[in-house]
Amino acid sequence: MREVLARTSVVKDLLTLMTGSDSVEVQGNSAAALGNLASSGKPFFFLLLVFNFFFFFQLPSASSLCQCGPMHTRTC
Amino acid sequence: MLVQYGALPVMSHLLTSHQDTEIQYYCAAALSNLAVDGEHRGLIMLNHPEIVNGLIGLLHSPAIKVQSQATLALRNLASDGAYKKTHTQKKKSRHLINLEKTEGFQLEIVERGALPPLLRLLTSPNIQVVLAAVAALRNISIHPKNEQKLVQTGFLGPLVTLISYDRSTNAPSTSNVARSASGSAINQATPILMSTLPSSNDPHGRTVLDIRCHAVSCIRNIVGSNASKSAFASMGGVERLVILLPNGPAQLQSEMAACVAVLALSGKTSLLLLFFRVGPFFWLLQKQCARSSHAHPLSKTC
Repeated sequence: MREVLARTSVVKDLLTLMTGSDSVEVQGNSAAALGNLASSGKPFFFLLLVFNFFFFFQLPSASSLCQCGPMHTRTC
Repeated sequence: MLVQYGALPVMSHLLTSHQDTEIQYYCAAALSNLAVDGEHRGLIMLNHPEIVNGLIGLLHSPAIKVQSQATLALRNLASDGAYKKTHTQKKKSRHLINLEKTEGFQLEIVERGALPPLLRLLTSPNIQVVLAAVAALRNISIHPKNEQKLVQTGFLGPLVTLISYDRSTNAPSTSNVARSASGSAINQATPILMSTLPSSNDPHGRTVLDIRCHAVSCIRNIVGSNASKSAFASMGGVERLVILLPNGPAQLQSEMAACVAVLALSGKTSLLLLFFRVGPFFWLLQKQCARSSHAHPLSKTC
């Protein structure tokens, strides 16, 4: 049931579309999201898709914590 | 140079003993710039903790520019990665500080009471204050021990709202006031307007985009546990995130995809993503998330 629905998932379609983005970061993070979704339902179609992106692109760490750097201030 | 000549004690004195908003503003700005340097951050946090208290106190200032500047200084103080790097390179210098103590500036800022005023600033009608607050929160949220505190203080609700922030989000309009008075603005699944994202050439639009990026990134940092993922889902966060996913510039899309990747790690939220708007399944799952977050009350406001 879950696998059938996964194949018609809106989110899956959106993420798949985003893997074709011009930005490598968007591609990588979308592929990581697809990979994490796939791992819960074991649809092999996903794995194959994600494998291709893992193979071609170096993924940014999607699950690692992120912060913004310090910045200078100009007083008015 | 300034620090070597004893600027920090002077600034500490100015910050804590003057009520003049101009002095407070320029002092916070100077400290904010000093805190860009990792070694200075270490000296402020370890040798002058009263400065942190003073900056947190300034978050309550009635002057918007003081609030904004103090928040920015706290944001810079909360980014401790560069400090470790700088300090490792200068291990033998005279500014030798116990390295164990330098870990977790974010934790210390939270322990000194920064969260309640930051929560209030997140809903400020001033866009620059919101930006400063959400950026500071993003840095604070990188410490894993802060995750639960942030969720318990009630940050998830305002952050979900900030995902689709636009110029009128925190404006004190009649409808917003009415909704916040009823207390249901966050928890109910309100219809989401597809607000247009301004172009990045527009400086105001750039600020809106930064606010959204920081909010999504902050959510990604604090939804580590299954309970906080469920709490996020019960507030309609997953729905809002997925609706906005195909829109916006690459920077925002990248942050949102990374956030979806983290949400997909939990069984419940991954099902919610897979069943997104698939008839009653989605509704039932969202109810289930709300029930589990109610069973583990993480979204209690302080």
